[in-house]
Amino acid sequence: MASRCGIDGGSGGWRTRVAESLGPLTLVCWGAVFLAYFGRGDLAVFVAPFFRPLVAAAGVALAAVGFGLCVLPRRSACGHHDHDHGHGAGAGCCEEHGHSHDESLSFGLVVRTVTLFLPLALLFSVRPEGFSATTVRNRGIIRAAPPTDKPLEVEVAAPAARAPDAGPRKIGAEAIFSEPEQHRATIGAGGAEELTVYEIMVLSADPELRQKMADARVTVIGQLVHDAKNGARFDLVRMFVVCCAADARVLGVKVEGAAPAGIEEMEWVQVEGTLAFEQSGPGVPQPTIRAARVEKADEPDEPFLY
Amino acid sequence: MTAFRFSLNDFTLSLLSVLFEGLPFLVFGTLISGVIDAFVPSGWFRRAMPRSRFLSVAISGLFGLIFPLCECGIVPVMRRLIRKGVPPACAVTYMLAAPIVNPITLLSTLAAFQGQGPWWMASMRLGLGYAVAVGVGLLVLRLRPEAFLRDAAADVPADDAAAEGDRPLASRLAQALRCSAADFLDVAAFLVMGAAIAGVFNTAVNREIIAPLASSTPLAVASLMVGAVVLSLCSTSDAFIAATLTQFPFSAKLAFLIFGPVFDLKLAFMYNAVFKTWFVALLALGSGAAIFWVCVNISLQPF
Repeated sequence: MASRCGIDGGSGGWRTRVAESLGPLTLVCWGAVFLAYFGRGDLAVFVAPFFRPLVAAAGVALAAVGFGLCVLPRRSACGHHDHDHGHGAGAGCCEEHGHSHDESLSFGLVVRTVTLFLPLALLFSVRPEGFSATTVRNRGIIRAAPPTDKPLEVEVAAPAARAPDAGPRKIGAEAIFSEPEQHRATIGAGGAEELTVYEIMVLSADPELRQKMADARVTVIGQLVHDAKNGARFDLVRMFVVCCAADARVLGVKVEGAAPAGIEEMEWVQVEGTLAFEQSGPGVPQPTIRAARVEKADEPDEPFLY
Repeated sequence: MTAFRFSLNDFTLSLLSVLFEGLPFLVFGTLISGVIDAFVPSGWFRRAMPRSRFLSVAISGLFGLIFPLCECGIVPVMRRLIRKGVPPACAVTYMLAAPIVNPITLLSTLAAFQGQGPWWMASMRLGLGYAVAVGVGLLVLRLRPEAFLRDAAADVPADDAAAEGDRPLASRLAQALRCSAADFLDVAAFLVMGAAIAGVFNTAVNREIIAPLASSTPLAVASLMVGAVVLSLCSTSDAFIAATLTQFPFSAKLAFLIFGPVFDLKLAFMYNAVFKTWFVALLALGSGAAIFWVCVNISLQPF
């Protein structure tokens, strides 16, 4: 059996064995976390859907490499060497040549390992499920979509026939733009339109749609943020994410109406009311919902908008 | 207005989201790095490059179009390329250019700047990003590798292609595995450090304090360049953030989009695993000064 560096070689004893184990342990732990979060669907609060399969693939790769390091004989791993020496596990088998081969439990190795395990410790102790109002206030709430000369790319919602007693109809912002005449005729024709905060912002950037949607009944789901200056208003916000939560922008619509007692900041609420557009400064008029009803809502499967 | 409000929950969310997004690319980059180490003979790249050093650097800046990698994954690949005999100037050029000069970044920039001169912004970003990378590469041509590379990266082995040809596949696979792990562990720790600092800025600093900085072009360019450093965004998504900074002039947003992929907090730590500290500092200051000068002094507004 091929001897393992620093184990049978006797150059480092338990320190070397620990040093050799830290690399594979780190890889396997991160791989397991990646796979567990992907498997349980818990990545929704961290990264956009596109990145989730990549996290799973990386989890498989990390776990495979970690286990592989555990089972590989040292000489096989560095097959182009005839000598036996004491690498730490994953310690740069090939590139460290010319340096100290005997990586024992050094200070640098400990710092590296602690650094790599700290995020996991935070993940399991804090268990973040979304941003708090602190970050919303620090990042600032975007209340109007930037002016554009082209329709924004958002999810397409197919138009559906509407029965007289049907509930709120879901409508996608791209459908509004791609088939304008057909859709604009029905928007705001009565009943509550179920829109997202983002869709309201897209609507507010179009003068014709603003005119049609003024005073239309809408139903919107979002997170509640108190207005510190005015107790009779609050913000309904959604996080708009491109890649991951770190790049989240806070989109918000003003709601006129007091928040019901017992609802904490950043809790999910459903607001039903009429839509208005206020020109409070230069740029696109800002949308406001005059609330007729505000009640708690379940968190959507996808808490962020993409 | 409170300038600094910290939330451990939000910091953790920001940190982990960057890691969940960035580590997969680092994994893929280090796997490529391991394969290069085990299967590409030392000196192969050197022989494949054009003889003209200028041409080699110029071509290296375009490799991102064929082998696109974001900044998280490219550092270990660059280090491995140097170890395999690629001239350091070419490897550095590829490292700096690839996160900008690649099709994914081109498409995301075009999408983000719809209605704000998307083609002009994308072409200026790719063009200036390429120019900065090649400029740095040409300067690196004048340096001896051991002067700016840390020992492990500078230690280029002799051309051992003949000896490597006899090794069995299992041995090569094992070598690839071990080298991938080593690269990942080395660089991931620096990614965590950079993402942690960026996480503090990302969640705890009130962004209203930067709004007055948009009033003058030099101040706006400088502040968004500092913003790019502290936010440490991925080059594939930073355009979507820049596009929302409507109060800032075009040139400031361009500086944000070029300087961020070249140097930010997470990269500072990752570079430090490969380059000597003085080189990292000079890279930041030199490329930063060049980007600042161009964006402030040359009219870059879209037609």
